[in-house]
Amino acid sequence: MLVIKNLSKSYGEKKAVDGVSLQIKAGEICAFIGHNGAGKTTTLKACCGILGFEEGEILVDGISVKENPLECKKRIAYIPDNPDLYGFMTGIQYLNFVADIYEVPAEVRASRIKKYADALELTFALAQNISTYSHGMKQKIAVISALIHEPKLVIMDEPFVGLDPKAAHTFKELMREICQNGGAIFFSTHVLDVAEKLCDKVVIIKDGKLIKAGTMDEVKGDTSLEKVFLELVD
Amino acid sequence: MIKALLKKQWLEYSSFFTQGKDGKPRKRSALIGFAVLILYGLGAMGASFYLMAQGLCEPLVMADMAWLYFSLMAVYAAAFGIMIVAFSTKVKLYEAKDNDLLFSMPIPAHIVLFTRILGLYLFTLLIECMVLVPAMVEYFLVAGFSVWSVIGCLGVLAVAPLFALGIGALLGLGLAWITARLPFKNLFTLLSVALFAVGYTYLTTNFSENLGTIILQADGVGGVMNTALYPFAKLGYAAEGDMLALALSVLIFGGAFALIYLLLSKTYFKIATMKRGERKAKYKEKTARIATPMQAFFKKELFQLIKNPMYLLNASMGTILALVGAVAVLVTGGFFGLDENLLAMMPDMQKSMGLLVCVMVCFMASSNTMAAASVSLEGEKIWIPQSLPIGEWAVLKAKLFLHFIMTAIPTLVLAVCLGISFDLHIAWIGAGALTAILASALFASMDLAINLKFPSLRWTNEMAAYKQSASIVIAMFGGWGIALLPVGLYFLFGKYLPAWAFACICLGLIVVAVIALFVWLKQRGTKIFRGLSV
Repeated sequence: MLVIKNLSKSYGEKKAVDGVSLQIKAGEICAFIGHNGAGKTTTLKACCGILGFEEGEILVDGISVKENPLECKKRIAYIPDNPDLYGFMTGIQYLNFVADIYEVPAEVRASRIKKYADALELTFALAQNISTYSHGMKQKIAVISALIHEPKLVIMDEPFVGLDPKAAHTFKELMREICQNGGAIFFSTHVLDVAEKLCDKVVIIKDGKLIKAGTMDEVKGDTSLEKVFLELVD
Repeated sequence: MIKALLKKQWLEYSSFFTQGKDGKPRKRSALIGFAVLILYGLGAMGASFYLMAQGLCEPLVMADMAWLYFSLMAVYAAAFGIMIVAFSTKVKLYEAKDNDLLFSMPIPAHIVLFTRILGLYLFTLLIECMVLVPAMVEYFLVAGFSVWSVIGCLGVLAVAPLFALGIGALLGLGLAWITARLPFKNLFTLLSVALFAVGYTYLTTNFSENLGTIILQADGVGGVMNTALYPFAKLGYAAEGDMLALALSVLIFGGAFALIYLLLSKTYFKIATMKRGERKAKYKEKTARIATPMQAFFKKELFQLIKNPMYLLNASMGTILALVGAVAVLVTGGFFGLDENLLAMMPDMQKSMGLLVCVMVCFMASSNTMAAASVSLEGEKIWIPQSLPIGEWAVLKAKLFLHFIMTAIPTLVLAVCLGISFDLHIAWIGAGALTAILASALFASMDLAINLKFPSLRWTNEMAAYKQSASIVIAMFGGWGIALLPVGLYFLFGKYLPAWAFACICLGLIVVAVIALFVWLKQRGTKIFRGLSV
């Protein structure tokens, strides 16, 4: 579903991502971990076509992000680390806006909005302005808007920040459901316990370079992901 | 503590000049260019006030009533200052984003208020200087210098802003108090700002139109000033060099402001931290109206405009004035005195009122600035259009279209009303209508191009994007310059060309400019938009 080949991205003199290659197949949940400033957000943004890159190639469902970004974006959903949303819209207006962009038919979007808003307990607030939402509510609306077109690949930057325990639990179930339906998920996180329990794959990045990647069992072996991560980055 | 807060305030204000779009320091050349632009803007405003002062100064000085001249200019400066300061006061005192942060620190609320008020005083001083400094320059040219009059004028410059700031702060306090309790605070703010705008336009239009009457009835006006507007009469005497009047002015204006400050100080923390009343609307499921991706983005732009009263009023001044003007022109036969001012500047235009209509329509079209703020307003939400499967050109087209629609319709109405009122030939009414459409397309694309070149995505308050950014300054003053360019060209070449030929050439040039801007936006603008990041 997602293939990254030799990705490099610089900000002036500084190389933020240096020759990263990885692959995520349909049905897989992959955690992307690394210290602050390691290059996680840069990589995720490059995968979504938000950020250009100098070297390498990114393929989403076999389509090049560089050559055909719009086709890739149709297959992707992206949730940034701190989703700033249009505060002047109500929740439902924002969801309809996103659904219009993805050209989701009226009946389909209505049932999906109901399903996800009920699951994340946000239905009561859909008629209110997003500017009145708490951080967690904004995160929930970002999650619903990401799932509204049933993306094949969901890319998320720290998606659990701000979610209450129940919403986080529901969201993990939704993530599994996406993968069972043939989708793939690639997300960054600092919560290693969640990554360990939820993910099939893990990728560790340090100073822009990929230092370890593989299935969860391959990477952590008999020990914990936290221990492996600390040993690798120290 | 005060020093640290003042330093923060200074950094906040100075970053507007010293920091570029990426938050990095501007290059020296960019800094000089920006300073020149600001000076041009201030100079253009100052020049218009200077023209007004010119009409009043000499007759009143000759009649030995220079004090009345200064008093009238001080009243005008106060009205101008209040109009601008009142809503800034509400935002900067009560809705500042760092209020919570500062209140969480061991800083007394009155200290926070003091540093913010000091910043607002300097802002008001700058606003009033645009009116009073040209008035003083004209006085010195007509009446000559004296040490006492220079001291008096400097004293008046320092004291006069206290009135506008005091009234503005009181209005800001009232607005903050009311909007904190109202469920429809946007509507209330919109209505109050519109009421202010209409009141200010009425006052200034009457003032400009009645300069002759004021001069003829100077004794009567002076009598009113000496009684009903006594503090302003004292300011007038002070500017003439009367030190006793200056001392009295300091006492009156300073004392009144101290009382207002005391009231603000007592209520500041409570109102600044008051939870704003929001109606908790209940969600009812209903079938959504499907829109195309382009329509969805247009709707988003429209929501953004109409749901923010301050943005609406700042960016749509041309729309409001064109619609109000269209009604006014049918009722009074004049257009806020703009027609008279243009004719005074360019008497040759009397021969072709059709051309004058085209210039006025173009001027109104140049007063809208929504496209010049539309990219900056994306701010940290820029990830949304960038991550969605919609081309950059479609996003830019939605921004262009909103600006075009909001400008073309009212200016078209204005062109027709002006044509009917001035009893123009149908061909000139058509030319006016065509000007409305082409000028709207020109300024929409020009403003968007300017905002793409000078985007400001790192703001803490949206107001910075639609009121205080470099692109707004360039778009507004550049737009006015372009709109009035035909007046200058007609002055140079009007003798050699019939008016209709001159109009055709101008419209042809606008068409060429629109095409060039569209090509630039589609090819280069889309790339810039794609590369924007916070």
